[in-house]
Amino acid sequence: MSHPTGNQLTADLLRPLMQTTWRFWALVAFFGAFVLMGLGAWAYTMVMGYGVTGIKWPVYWGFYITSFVFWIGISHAGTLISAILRLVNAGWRRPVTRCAEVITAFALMIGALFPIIHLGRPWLAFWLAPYPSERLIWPNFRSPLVWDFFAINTYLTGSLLFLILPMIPDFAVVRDQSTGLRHRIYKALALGWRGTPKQWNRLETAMSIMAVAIVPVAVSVHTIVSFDFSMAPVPMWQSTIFGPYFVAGAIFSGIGGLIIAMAVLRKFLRLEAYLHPVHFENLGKLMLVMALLWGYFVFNERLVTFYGNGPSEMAVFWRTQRETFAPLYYTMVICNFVLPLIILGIKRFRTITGCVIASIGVVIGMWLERFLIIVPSLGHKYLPYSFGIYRPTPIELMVAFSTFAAMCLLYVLFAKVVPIISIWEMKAGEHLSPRLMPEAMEEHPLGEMHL
Amino acid sequence: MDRRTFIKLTAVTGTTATLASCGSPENQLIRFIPAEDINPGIAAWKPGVCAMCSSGCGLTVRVMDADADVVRDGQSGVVRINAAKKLEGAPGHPVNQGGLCVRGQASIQVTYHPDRITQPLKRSGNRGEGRYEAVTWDAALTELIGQLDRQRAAGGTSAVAAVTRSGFSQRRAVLDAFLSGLGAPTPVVYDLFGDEVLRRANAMSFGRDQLPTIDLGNARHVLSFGADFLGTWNSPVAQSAAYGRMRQGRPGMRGSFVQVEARMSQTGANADEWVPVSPGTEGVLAMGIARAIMTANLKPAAAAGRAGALIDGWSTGLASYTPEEVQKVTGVAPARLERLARQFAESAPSVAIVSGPPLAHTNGLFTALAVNALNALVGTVGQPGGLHFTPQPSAVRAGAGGSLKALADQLLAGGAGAAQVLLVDGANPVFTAPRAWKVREAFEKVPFIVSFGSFIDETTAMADLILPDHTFLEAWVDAVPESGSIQATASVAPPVMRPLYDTRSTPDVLLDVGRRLAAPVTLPWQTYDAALAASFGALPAPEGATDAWADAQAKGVWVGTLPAAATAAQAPVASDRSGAAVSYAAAQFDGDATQFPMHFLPYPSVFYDGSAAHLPWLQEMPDPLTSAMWSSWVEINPETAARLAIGEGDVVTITSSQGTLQAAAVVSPGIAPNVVAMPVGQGHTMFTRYASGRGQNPVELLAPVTEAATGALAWAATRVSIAKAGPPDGRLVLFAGGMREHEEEPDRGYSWSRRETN
Amino acid sequence: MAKWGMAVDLDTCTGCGACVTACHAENNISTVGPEQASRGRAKHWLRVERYWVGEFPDVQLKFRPVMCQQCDAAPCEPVCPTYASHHTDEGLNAQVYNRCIGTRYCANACPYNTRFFDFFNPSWDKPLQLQLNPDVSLREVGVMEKCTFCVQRIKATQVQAAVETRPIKDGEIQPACAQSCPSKALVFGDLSDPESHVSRLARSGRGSKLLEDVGTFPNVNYLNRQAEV
Ligand SMILES: Nc1nc2c(c(=O)[nH]1)N[C@H]1C(S)=C(S)[C@@H](COP(=O)(O)OP(=O)(O)OC[C@H]3O[C@@H](n4cnc5c(=O)[nH]c(N)nc54)[C@H](O)[C@@H]3O)O[C@H]1N2
Ligand SMILES: Nc1nc2c(c(=O)[nH]1)N[C@H]1C(S)=C(S)[C@@H](COP(=O)(O)OP(=O)(O)OC[C@H]3O[C@@H](n4cnc5c(=O)[nH]c(N)nc54)[C@H](O)[C@@H]3O)O[C@H]1N2
Ligand code: SF4
Ligand code: SF4
Ligand code: SF4
Ligand code: SF4
Ligand code: SF4
Repeated sequence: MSHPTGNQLTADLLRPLMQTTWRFWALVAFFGAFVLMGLGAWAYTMVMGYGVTGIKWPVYWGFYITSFVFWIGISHAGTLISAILRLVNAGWRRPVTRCAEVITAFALMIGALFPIIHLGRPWLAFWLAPYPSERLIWPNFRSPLVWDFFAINTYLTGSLLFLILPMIPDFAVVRDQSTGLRHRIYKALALGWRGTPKQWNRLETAMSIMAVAIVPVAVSVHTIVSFDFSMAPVPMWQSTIFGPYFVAGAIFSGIGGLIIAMAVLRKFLRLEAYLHPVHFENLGKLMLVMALLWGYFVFNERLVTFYGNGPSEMAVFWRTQRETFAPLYYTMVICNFVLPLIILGIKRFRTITGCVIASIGVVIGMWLERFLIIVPSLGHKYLPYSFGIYRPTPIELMVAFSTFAAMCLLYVLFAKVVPIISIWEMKAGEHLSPRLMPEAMEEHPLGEMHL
Repeated sequence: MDRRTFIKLTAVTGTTATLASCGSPENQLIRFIPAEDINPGIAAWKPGVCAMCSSGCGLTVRVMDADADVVRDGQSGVVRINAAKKLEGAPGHPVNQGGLCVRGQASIQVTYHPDRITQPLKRSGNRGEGRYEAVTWDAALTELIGQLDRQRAAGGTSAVAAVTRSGFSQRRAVLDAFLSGLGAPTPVVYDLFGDEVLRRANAMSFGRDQLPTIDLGNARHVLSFGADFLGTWNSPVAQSAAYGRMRQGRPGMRGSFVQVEARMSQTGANADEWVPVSPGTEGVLAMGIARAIMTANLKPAAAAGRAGALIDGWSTGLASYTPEEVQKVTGVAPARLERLARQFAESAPSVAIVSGPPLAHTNGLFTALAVNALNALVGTVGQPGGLHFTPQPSAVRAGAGGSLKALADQLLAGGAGAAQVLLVDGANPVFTAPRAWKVREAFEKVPFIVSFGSFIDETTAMADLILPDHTFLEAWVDAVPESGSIQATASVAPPVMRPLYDTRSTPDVLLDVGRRLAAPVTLPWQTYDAALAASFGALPAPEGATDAWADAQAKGVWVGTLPAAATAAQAPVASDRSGAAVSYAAAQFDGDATQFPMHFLPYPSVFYDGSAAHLPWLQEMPDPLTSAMWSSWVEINPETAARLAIGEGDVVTITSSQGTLQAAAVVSPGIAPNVVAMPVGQGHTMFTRYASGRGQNPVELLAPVTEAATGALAWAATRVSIAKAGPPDGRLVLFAGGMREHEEEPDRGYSWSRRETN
Repeated sequence: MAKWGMAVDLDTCTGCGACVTACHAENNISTVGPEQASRGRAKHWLRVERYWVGEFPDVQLKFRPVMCQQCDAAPCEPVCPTYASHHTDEGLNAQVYNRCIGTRYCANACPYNTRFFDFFNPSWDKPLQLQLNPDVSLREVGVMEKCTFCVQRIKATQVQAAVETRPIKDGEIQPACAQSCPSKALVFGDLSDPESHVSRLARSGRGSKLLEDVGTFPNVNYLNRQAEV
């Protein structure tokens, strides 16, 4: 793998930090405007009442919970992929890990906002947390929402650590190359990093522990998110496969998100020399595997329902299969299965552009998947007299849409203050005799495997 | 700032604040001294009488303290009052036996309605426009008295006319007495869904000009021709209570119930068997059943006595009503007819009921007489499980009401006979009478109209003077149920709470006005409650009580045996002037069958005839059959809808010879393909914030067809055409999502092409 | 300890809807108006479901009043993160409005769809608020509300009986819906007393539970409509 080395590498990767162009401000203004719109819409909801959304009896969850599951899903690419690639020591991971881990951190923060946004009384959200009160009232630990609270917080803490730890040596690089206020800030952030063998050793140990620990946390988080649904006796929610189904879907959409982010960064930060087509191709292959897995789960879910032939399940089943929700359902199948299979299954299409197109499809498809899990079931729950159809209002569209802008804004701001590609890891990959690293590690062949 | 300036400042701001708070009444702390009998936080239960219809159900009203904005002596302010909180059915009341219908439950909102008229009003805009200015009672009464004096001096006996709604009570007796004291005719009684035809038929068949009390609780089989006896007709709470006993009140015996009608009513929805027939042919089916009973020798023709003799061909076994002939007319197959007849004759005690659409045709009287004869044939009249006639005190059954049509014609004709002063009490004929009767135009011609209404509705908006009544919770109230209890019954109750506003009890106003006329109308009572005391005092005290009046006030009802002298005497009336037997004549419909292919059926909704449409609880209550809220709609058979490409919720144009309107379609399997039905009650142009401008009034399509013998409006005799006007536009608000419990028929199973197989 | 239950006689229920309005009147359930009603925000703690069976002319209609079934194994309870939806000693599914933060999870979990959300602050056009029952708390925007079996009436009777040191008589407690029902299709009482009217009806052989196979163990018994005897 080839990319610029030495001072050129440092200069390239630090350029976005050191030079601020009008393009940066334009992007901040652009995305910031949408974020403000979303915040305004939420404030409006709180002032006017929750009724300004399209939620109704009996479809009490809609766009917001869809977005919640979607963003938590997106968060699964970063840390999980990065951790696995670190564990197998795949060399091609080096330019990818940081931008992947950032996705996790931000997607989690955004996702975790939705359970608060969707509350009828969001100002009382702290009642979800166990805090000592004179009334000795605790949250209900039997509620999957409380499990969510803990799972997401654990994952967020872990992911932030996982993200921040390997940033320390890079902060030191910025510190050493800057002056003035910037120097002082990065000095603080670098936590006195000197690059001593002892420090390297500790960092590597911490990263190994985190990489091992974060994998089960990531798997459990989306399993627990799936419990929000599978623990309630709602037709087509009460499913034994929801845990793995949701985890697979999460990784699937996460990879999509990652590919899109990488492609955008590559273009805008002119990182063509660092993010090579092979990186995309490898991620594309991973996504292809996930598409097959996802297809298997959906087929499994539908087949078992169909053979079970329970009246209440079938009412929901037909709703998605050939009635109200059929157009969305088939769009989802095309986006999540047909499109990835064609683009990623044929080597000729597995280019950067191909991967991005497939990824956009997957992100859209996975958003629809969550919507189709939530809304048709709630709208057709057991007693037909109480059936209902949900349509989102502009308020919900604004809030949901603004979170995409928020993701972009956070990314832009992040790339402004932290090298989006880990400088020291790039260098560690290029110097087999370690000037920076305490001991040389043989990279595992699985890491370079061509699937 | 030193101490001195601070004190100065405080004094200034304090005074300003005090002055400011005196300016707006709600900021004044104490304005009225609350009633002394307030028991804070403790509920009291007081008797009441529901005034939403003429059934006279007894109430138990929960009363508790509450802070109210009130107007007293021309001043408004906040005061703690004893306020009615909840209406319950009075448990021991012989009519409603602890239950209440949906209108009774909601009627507490009449008193607390935000658009109630709070004081006398004088018209300041054009008639019908609804613009009024406040006047004092003194000024209002002086004006009314002046008008009455003037008109009486000029116009003679017909100078004054009154319009009211049906129902008997001492209150009505005061109105009748006041009018007769003035030398005016008895008040016009108008209800869209009035029962003149049935009363006339009962008078002819059984000698009782009255609605029947049906002893459903002891019946084994009920055959109902179109009667919505569990919903809106007659005494629905009493009938529902009895129906509950008929179904499940007797161990080991469950009564059966067959309903005959062209559109499934809420009552018909409860039937074991629902028999749709062609509109206007119900009498033929009744005769077919009678013939089958006679031919099978289950009952002899003679058993029907006078009721049978009224029917042409009865004594000869109704030879013309062969099963084949009946099928041709009604559409009911001979085998079914045979079965219905056997069931009716053999499941004694059985009873037949008729009312509603079957009587709202040109041949309604025949249908009513036919069903009466059927009852007489199986001997149900006066028997357990059969028809009864509640003894009526003569004091409140003075004379028959006049006809609205006649009044309107007379007013339009003008001249010496036309009324110069019109009193309107509790009726809204401008809304409920067919347009062709020109009630609005007729009322325009009356020089002076007085309304006693609590709300500005289409008729009250015509008034020059509004003298708002108390509501039934704020005033003495009474009702003499015409039916619903086999024993003679009278409901009465003192005021439950003090009036919220500057209103006055209408009977008291009438008595007051009578006394103050130039030529006073002297009635035997000074006040309404004195009138009540007199009439209840004359009744025999029930067992265990010494004083009938005191006992009735405490219980809210008097039940007992009327002394013969006080009972309204009734004798059979002749069939018609010629005295000949009545025979079937095919119903006549307005509108050419090719131009207007559909029968149009307006039916009483949860708002009854629209008089309860102003109550938000009723507006938001899902309709029992369609689950519609806050809307009006037209029901169409699925076959017809498919033929005309009309889907659920589509906007449909309905046209009759009288006009056209648009409403949302509800595709319903409970209606015949050649019938469309619309609930009455919505479509008010002016009736409080909740009902104004909402939905459509089907009465506007009704042709002025009348029942041939009685002249009653034949409200089911209009034909219409329908056509799709557009896609759903949100005007139909449904609560329910699904129409059917099982989406697929069980034997059909799931198939991949369900759309095709349907 | 009492165990409250209801019997709904589908053979005598006429679909009249008096119970629906009675529940509104007793429990301070606000109306939402036509615009919000059309957006699915009407609140009917008790609804009378109706289902068509067959096609014209062989068509029948079924009515079924559905209120909270006060499930013994209520799916709405474990999912509530704040214990706003919880089980009382007397087997009632209680709803503590002040504790509710409006996740609406309980309503999703309720198989009967008997839980209703306050999408806006409930309001009453003055002076309709004078009718409000002081025994029932008003709800604010963002909370879930539902049938309580008229717990305020249960409590009031229990206190009264305790003051008079006597047991509660069968039929002494009447929820608003049962009290208003003209045909007495709703019977409320103590299921732990085998001789109570509601217990006898539950045993009558006509009884069944709604959505029994979902495993909620509801405390409302539906007495089936009978065929001809
Ligand atoms: N406009 C208006 N004026 C009124 C009334 C009204 O209804 N409206 N009500 C009248 C009536 S009935 C009353 S009783 C009076 C009440 O009049 P105040 O006695 O003035 O009562 P509060 O306004 O409650 O103020 C009492 C003060 O004591 C302080 N405090 C609280 N706890 C303690 C403590 O433990 N120790 C000490 N030292 N201070 C403490 C509080 O912070 C507060 O500042 O107001 C009278 N004035
Ligand atoms: N949250 C809160 N609660 C409090 C207090 C507080 O500070 N905060 N303060 C406490 C104290 S100190 C007090 S004294 C109490 C006061 O509590 P309350 O005694 O309840 O006081 P008010 O609401 O001022 O008056 C009660 C009613 O009396 C009526 N009223 C006025 N004049 C008359 C009259 O001449 N005759 C009759 N029959 N009725 C009349 C008024 O219209 C009003 O409806 O509140 C106590 N409760
Ligand atoms: S039947 Fe009539 S009197 Fe009885 S509760 Fe209903 S509206 Fe009132
Ligand atoms: S019916 Fe619904 S709300 Fe009531 S206890 Fe059962 S699950 Fe909970
Ligand atoms: S909406 Fe309220 S009661 Fe329902 S689960 Fe959430 S917090 Fe609990
Ligand atoms: S028991 Fe009470 S709260 Fe429940 S439906 Fe009946 S009236 Fe409403
Ligand atoms: S009040 Fe009684 S009869 Fe009427 S709908 Fe309710 S349960 Fe049925």
